[in-house]
Amino acid sequence: MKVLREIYDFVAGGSLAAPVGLAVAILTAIFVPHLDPTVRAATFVAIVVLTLAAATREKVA
Amino acid sequence: MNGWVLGGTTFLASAVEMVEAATIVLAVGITQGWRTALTGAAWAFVALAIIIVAFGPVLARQGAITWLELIVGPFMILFGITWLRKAIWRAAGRKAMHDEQAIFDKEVAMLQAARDKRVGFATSFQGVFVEGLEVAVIVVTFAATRPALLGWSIWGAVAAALIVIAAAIALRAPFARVPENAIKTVVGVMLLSLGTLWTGEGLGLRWWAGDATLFWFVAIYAAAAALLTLVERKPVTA
Repeated sequence: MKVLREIYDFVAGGSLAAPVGLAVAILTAIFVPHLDPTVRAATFVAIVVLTLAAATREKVA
Repeated sequence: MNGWVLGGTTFLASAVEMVEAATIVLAVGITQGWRTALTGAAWAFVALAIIIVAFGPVLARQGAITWLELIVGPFMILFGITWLRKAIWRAAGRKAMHDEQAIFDKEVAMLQAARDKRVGFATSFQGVFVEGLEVAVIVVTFAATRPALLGWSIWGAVAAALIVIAAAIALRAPFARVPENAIKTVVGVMLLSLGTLWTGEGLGLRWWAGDATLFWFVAIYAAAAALLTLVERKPVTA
């Protein structure tokens, strides 16, 4: 468990919002294939920006 | 993709991490002698070089870039968010700025109390290895997605490490005036931008300006970071 925690801290810096938001961005890109390609790409970037905002609003690590 | 973009990103990432490592090596050198300090640092560089040599060329030789981009891209996005949010917190006053002089003083006090050369060796090794590990991972992941530019990312990282260590030994003082937070912001924006580009390519997204969309991402994330810094800024109380 401690090793997993270390890896998680190393990769995500202890953030919960970052991996969750990134998963949402990836799943949205995969499961909404009918959107216009440019809109799909822009949606992905918009979700990443929101993820950054959410991660910044988290408690200071 | 331009080699200068990848080389420049690893140069800046390595520079900011080596500034932190140099503070620790310096503390060991002054309290326990340069031989102990530089031996520990040299072994850490060997360990980091082994990681890069073991994984970099192997990943660079993979033919199918797409699935590698899907693995490497999200890692870069997470690294980028981690770097950037810390820089935003510091710029906004929510987290204390990295104080190299305070870290140096703390390390010197600890090493003077220990007096054991093995502690000095371990401190120097750990300082360089821990700070350099993230740079090594960045170099290896760059190799996975842009194999032809592996040399650029390695030389970017090595050049910064050599310059910073040489300057630290020449100055014999911690780098208290290096604008670490500004450099961290730039690195965070670059990692986030490269991660977005590669993850999107792996997912089959069609970027509106091809590889040049990277510069759009840089502008978008830099603007977002500036806005978030303003939002997060603590109100000044009289």
